[in-house]
Amino acid sequence: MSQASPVGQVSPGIPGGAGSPGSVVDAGAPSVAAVARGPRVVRRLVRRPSFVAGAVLLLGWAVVAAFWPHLVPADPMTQHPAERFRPPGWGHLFGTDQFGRDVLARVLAGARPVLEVAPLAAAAGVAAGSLLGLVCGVRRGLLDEIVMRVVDALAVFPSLVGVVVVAALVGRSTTALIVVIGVFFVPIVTRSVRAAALVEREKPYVEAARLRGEPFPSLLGREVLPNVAGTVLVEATSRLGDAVFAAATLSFLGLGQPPGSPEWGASVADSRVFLQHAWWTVLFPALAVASLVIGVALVADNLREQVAAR
Amino acid sequence: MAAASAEHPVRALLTRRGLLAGTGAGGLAALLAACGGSTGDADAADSSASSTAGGKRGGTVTLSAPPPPTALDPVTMYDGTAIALVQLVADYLIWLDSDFQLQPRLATAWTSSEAGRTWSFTIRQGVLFSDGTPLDAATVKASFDRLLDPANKSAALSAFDTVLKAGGVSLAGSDTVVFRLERPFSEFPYLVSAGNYNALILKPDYQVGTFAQKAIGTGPFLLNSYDSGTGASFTRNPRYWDSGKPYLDGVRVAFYKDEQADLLALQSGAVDGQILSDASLVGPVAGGGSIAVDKVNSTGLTAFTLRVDRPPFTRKEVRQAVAYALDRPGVLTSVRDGAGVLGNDHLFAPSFASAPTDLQQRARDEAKVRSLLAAAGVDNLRFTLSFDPPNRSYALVIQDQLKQVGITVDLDQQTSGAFYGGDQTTDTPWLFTTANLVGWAGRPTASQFIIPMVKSQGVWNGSKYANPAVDAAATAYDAATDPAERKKQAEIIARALNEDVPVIVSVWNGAVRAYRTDRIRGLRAHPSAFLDLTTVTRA
Repeated sequence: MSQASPVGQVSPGIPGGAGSPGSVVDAGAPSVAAVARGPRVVRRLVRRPSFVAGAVLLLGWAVVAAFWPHLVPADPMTQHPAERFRPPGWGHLFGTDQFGRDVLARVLAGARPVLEVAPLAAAAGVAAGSLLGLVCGVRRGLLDEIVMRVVDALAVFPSLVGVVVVAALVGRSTTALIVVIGVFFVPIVTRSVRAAALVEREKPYVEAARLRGEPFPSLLGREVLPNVAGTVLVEATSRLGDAVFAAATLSFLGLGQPPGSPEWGASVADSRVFLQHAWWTVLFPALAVASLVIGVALVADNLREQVAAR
Repeated sequence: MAAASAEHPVRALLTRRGLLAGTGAGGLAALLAACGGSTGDADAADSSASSTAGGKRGGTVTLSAPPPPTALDPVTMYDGTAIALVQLVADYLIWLDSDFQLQPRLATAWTSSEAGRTWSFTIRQGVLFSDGTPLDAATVKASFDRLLDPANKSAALSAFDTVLKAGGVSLAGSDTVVFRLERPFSEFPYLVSAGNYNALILKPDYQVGTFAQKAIGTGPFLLNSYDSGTGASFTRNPRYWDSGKPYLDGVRVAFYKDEQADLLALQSGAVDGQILSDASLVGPVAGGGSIAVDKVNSTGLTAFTLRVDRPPFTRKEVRQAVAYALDRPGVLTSVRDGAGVLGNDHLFAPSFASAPTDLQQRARDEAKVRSLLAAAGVDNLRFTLSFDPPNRSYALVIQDQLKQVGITVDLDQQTSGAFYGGDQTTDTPWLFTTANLVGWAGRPTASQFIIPMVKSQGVWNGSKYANPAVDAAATAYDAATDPAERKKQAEIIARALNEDVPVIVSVWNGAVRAYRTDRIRGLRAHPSAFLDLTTVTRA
């Protein structure tokens, strides 16, 4: 018998999945519906101005991060003592900082450090959290109890404070930042994905897969995961925004890249004492952080709304 | 000596403000013949003697300062705010003016005998403490005995190290105090002056740690209230020994934790002036509105130390190459906002009377860098530079300047706690890393840099430099009472350091003090950020 998918559709099943040869029960595979919905969701999203604005900001910064050496008007690292604190003008569109470095060049170059750390940190946290959430949500039992109690314990700890403390302890490196930020996302993602998986595990297609003896990893990866993909995607974009903010905060606190890096957070920290007479040294890197966070948030909000609308 | 602290030459430098305060901490020595001038224009010609001419007697001024990280105690303090506040209430035997000339205060005269091994100070008569107790020689002796007692943990102990020990102070009548030194020291008056900022004269029954509750001194003001978080207020001391002074009726000091808030308070008129100013912050606002910034040179420095016993700096050619790679005027501009003077890789500030004058100023020379590195057989020189946050800007400037001549510098920024932590005999980063930046508070004498920093087995010899010729000249320099002989020994030391480059001294710090010209007159910068308000008036 066919089973209703999470969106109330009747799924025909997919090869190798539920309803594949050897299936005991043709339980249908909602994952097909999920796949089929993809283009439709995209079409809906691109009609939303807020999503487009967010995507443009996000992609724009991604392009800048990738190609900044070809875009900057000057070397962002080279100092020019004679040109300190030049206000924005034709020679330096964003002005110069306390070392005479071009602020525009540093803002553009500063996109790379944050976009090296944030996506990977978000991906690491989402991957680990999703795996834990799926395992716990589908299997339940003692493992679920243990993991969720640990997650509960971690969740009460202020994550940003935790990130700062651990980053200060492990020292400065891109890998360390990615791991530290990612680890603190795991409890959040685990909870969300587990909640979605709990809903899915009660559905007949999961029961059908179990009855036909589908291995547990396959049950998670091929049956449940496609149906919680929306939740995972929303988590990924939300965590990306958090990761950008966390990376900028760590950099502001001096826990990011080595001194002299054009990281936005570090630029704000180094220049904030000059705000009175050289506002441009603070404003532009701060705007860069804000624009990227806003871009990611707009994308995440729209995705969340689409998932909720399902 | 005067400088930063008893155990540590740099403790006062742990913060950016501390650097400024610490620069003052040591007091400076010798005669700062050349001082900077005010960048403001309103009362540039205003001298101490004539300050009342343009100002008004009476009234109160409000100054700002960061909250002191140490207790308000004359014996143990080492930060700029605490030192300045205590200086309003208590007094020294000798003051150091902004030219670092010795100015008699509670001592009216001093003489030496035994070739500089014994010093006698005549105590001013008629001076009363604020509670009415008269000052006498026994009180002065008690004050120095207190400083020399290790149990009191005074920052002054390091100043007297190898020079004066407990039991070395005695009386010769009711108005003369005699100091018997461990060795001849021709600049000893600096060690009992404000240059040794803990050397304040307090009553014999003073208990360390009670100053904030019961501040009794011979200074120009009385401490009315003190709160370590918000500020302090002072009123004129009617018993002050210098008749007619101070001109102000009172002083209020407001604490601002944030430098930006401090500057805003000055700009808005919430305060009339700053006690501790940061040149890089106040420099750009000088001359705007009613803000003026007074500048003077100091003897504080940031030592760029190179380990002579560790690659890649075992060859002096490599060390010289690094020294020739630096654009010193660029360092002065970028790091000190132009406040200070160029250094020449030795430890005699231009303001020291014995400073060599015929040693050619080292300047950036790319060709020389290449030839020196080639002579040393070094390709692609690369090293790690360790430092703590107050020297971050200097580190960045060094990295950029050396990169321009093909030298790669990896920056190792550590917390101040980590950088100055560890064991000073085995592993503390500021003494054991291959290359590092260490802020040294200003000292009143060159010996106080030379002996710990570059003499063989010096307690703070981070470069591990050892040169018997320098050791011998340093000993002769301390003992010499003849200025010509001192200058001769100074030249031997300076030439050796300039040639061997265990330490790069690219600039000597300057000190600044910002104030509002429409509110206050006579407020001057001091090389050690000391505070003398006896001749300050309202505008």
